[in-house]
Amino acid sequence: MSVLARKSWRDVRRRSARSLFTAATIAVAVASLSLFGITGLLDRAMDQRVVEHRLHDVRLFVEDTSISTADLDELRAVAGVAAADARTTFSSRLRDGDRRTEVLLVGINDFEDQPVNRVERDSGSFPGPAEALSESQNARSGRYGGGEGDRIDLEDNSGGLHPVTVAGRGTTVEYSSYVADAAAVLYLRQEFVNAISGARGVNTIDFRVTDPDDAEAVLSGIRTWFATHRPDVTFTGLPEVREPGTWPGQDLVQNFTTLFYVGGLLALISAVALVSNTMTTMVAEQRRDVAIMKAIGGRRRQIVGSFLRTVWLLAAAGTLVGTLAGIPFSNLLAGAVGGQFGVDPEWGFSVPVLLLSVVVGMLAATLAAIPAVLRAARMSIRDGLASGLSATQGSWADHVLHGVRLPLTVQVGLRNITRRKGRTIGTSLQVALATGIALGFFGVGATVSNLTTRNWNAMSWDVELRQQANVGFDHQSLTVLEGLDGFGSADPLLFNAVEIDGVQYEAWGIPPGTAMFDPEIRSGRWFEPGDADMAVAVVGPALAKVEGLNPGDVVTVETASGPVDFTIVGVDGRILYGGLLIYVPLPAFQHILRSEDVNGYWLQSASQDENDIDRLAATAEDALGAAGIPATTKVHHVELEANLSAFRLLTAALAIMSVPIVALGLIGLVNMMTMNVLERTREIGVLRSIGASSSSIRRIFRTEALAIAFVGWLIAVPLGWFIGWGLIRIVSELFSFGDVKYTFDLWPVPLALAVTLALAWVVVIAPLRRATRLRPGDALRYE
Amino acid sequence: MDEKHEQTGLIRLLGVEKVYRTGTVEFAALRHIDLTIHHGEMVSIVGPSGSGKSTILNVITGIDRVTAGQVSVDGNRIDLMSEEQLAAWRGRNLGIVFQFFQLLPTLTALENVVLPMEFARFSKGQERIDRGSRNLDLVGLGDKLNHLPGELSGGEQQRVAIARALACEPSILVGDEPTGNLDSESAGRMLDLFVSLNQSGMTVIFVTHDRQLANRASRTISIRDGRVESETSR
Repeated sequence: MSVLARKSWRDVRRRSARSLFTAATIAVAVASLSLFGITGLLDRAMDQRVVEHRLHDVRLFVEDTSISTADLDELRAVAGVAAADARTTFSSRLRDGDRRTEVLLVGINDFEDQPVNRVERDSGSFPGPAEALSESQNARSGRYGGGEGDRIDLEDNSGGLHPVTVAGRGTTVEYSSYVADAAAVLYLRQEFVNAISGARGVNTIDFRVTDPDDAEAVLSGIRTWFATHRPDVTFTGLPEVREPGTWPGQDLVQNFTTLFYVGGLLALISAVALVSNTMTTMVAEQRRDVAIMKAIGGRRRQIVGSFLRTVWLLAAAGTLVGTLAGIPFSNLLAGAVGGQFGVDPEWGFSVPVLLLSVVVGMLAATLAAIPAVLRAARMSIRDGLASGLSATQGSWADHVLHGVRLPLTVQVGLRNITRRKGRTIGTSLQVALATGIALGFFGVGATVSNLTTRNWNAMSWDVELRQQANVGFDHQSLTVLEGLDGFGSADPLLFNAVEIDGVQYEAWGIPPGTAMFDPEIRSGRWFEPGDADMAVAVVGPALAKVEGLNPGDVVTVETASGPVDFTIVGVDGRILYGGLLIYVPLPAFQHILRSEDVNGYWLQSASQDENDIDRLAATAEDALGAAGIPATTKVHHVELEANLSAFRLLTAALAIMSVPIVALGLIGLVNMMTMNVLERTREIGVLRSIGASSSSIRRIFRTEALAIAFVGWLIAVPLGWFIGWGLIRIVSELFSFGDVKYTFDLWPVPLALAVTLALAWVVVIAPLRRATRLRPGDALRYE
Repeated sequence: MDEKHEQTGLIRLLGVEKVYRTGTVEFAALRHIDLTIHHGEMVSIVGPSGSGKSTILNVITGIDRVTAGQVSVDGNRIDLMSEEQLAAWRGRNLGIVFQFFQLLPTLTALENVVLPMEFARFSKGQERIDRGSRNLDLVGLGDKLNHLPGELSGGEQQRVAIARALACEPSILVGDEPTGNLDSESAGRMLDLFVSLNQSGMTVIFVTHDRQLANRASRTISIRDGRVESETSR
């Protein structure tokens, strides 16, 4: 081995504390890149769940059909069919005390043997007669939080109640995402669902195929079988064919995983900055060695090569440790995120992410070190050989601080940060990035939370009634409602589906002067009294964006009565139903649909107590039902909670992402302070020689750390605003919020300052303990 | 010198040994040193490179700990003090001048001189500034109070270092090759200052490799291989 090569190895061993710290810094930076691995782990976990839960590939919708065991056996024998099962699903309502919740009942023939769409039991036992398994996502979404042993009632079509005991909790890939979008889900024995729904047979037949790529061909075979053997079966809808590799709720999970890529990118930037700062510091400390090598004839290429070997040794050690540490780190994060979706990913790793970690670790360290090594190689021998306490020229900061009355120890600390400008700037930026990201995430959380509550607070109704069955709400219904205990007021509504350019949207016929809806008009206007009988409309922001609609535009809308040209008078900013609503004046909509009746009401309760509101909803339903006008209800505070729980998931994901990035910032500060203390060991020896106590020395270095933390925080505030703004743009795009008003609360700003300063105070404890324990003689001889 | 005078010396080293250990290698820098320095003496310590002369200064100032033996300074057993006690004691009782000046580069000349007073809580407020200014006047730098070390020549920096060493009016001034980084003219002036401080009652001890400078002291101790080889009084 050449002497230069041996030097590289010994340099690492000789300055063991420094080497260890440098390698550890690189390791942390590399480990943070494991954020990129979360996506793969979650995808793998979901793919595995699809297999474990035997998710269907083909689904047929049939009209209350008896499918015998023999039929099922024959269907299973159709070419390409791996498994088949039939069940009834029924939309019902769950009554838990006064609370009524929309629920989908899913019938299971045999819980012990489920060939398709298997229900996995999470707790309790499989249900017996008059029992149900609650979908685990029910509780997470806030729709129904009940568990084992709870007693509830399920409604049938005629309003009759069927008592049920919750036997436990379970989940399926098929129906867990349904909860987030639509209603709670319960799994019951097939015969019990039929008893509640009044069905005699099944309304859903599910198939798994041997080759998902061949699903269409298999469907064709299944249809042929029905045409031949069961021509009596009526199909109530188009069959569903699942694309290979897809599963219900995939869009939502993918939106979150996209967020993790954003987080990974932020971590990458932080990591590269940290490694760069570290390598620059490390090389700068060795300028004396560089000067000596030059003095004895070393050429630049040889000197640079020697140092790069040292850099590679440290980078290799740090990269190896970081890459390995990243595996459990990403698995833990994936487990935390997956837990929000009821998924428990298996431990694993992503080869591309491992390769990225290796490349970033080695390449970033090398690229960061090269400019510093070249700078050191260009320095004159004389300057390089100057003693540790090399005299410096005064900076503007020194002259400014000279005029400020502060204890000298504080002065020394403050002025020291201008001695190593590059390092100070690098570390301040690191702290700024970490703190800024935390502030940005606060901003996103505040925006999303405000968005939800603002949107729901735009509606001041307490209960929404909707027609059930084909009986509309006539004048009698209003009389019934007005007679209810706790009734405050009611506004009639007409809900209907319409199409624009072949895409279906929900339309609300709404009284122009309603006090129960407060629009946030972005352009144009809301309805005026004169609009009552006009074919005018206000559209939601996402609908306006998707269809390219602006006030003044005329759009042809396909209604149940045929096409109608609507003039757009305004664009609302509220993000209800994803911002895809179209509002029409109620009288005009009734005229268009030729209906004197309405199919909905907004009710305001006389009392704002949640129990009173629940009671009003229940009595309204019962009273209307008794009057032969079956209705379903939605309670405002319940829906608001379900929406908020969805966004809590988003803020939880952001919080998880912020952990490694904030840690990188702190590591940067620890790194810088440790290097400062190590580098100025001789200076500490001098200070001790002239009478400095441990506390004086601690004050000097704490001042440095706090000053850098403060500068970092100053930069973090505008940076955090910008990061939050950027993230909201991304989140809005992913979750179709439309154009969202960004909220950046100011209260986290001083909190961030307090936390940053507190952490800066803490991170110098370890390096300072070492420094103040050194004997002056050892400190003066330190190299 | 009579026995009583020997026993009441300002600085006493008794059976002092110092061994440096680096990995598995041991180096005995001082071997059984018995030495007494009295109040008001000006002592030079000479010897070849690696003889242990700087180590003697280090054990007298408490910068290094002895491996064996006792070190007494003005009745205080400094070999028994903790690091905190030593730092405080040094600040009040000793002035140290290093070969490479060792000024804090971001502090002005005046601030470097005032710093030990802050550490030792010696004097307060404006009085510290005044004392610092007087010390710098004394060393001929009264017009360079607000200069940073980088703006001063080597000789000027060393004079600031001397002014700093005198900040808390110590009774002992110690110099480890204080002229080692100066030209001969500056070195001569430095020693003149040391002599004048000694004449005003201060005990001055300095290490030097320059025999000519060493001879300006009233007593020269020669060290070789960690032992006192000879002593010369004038």
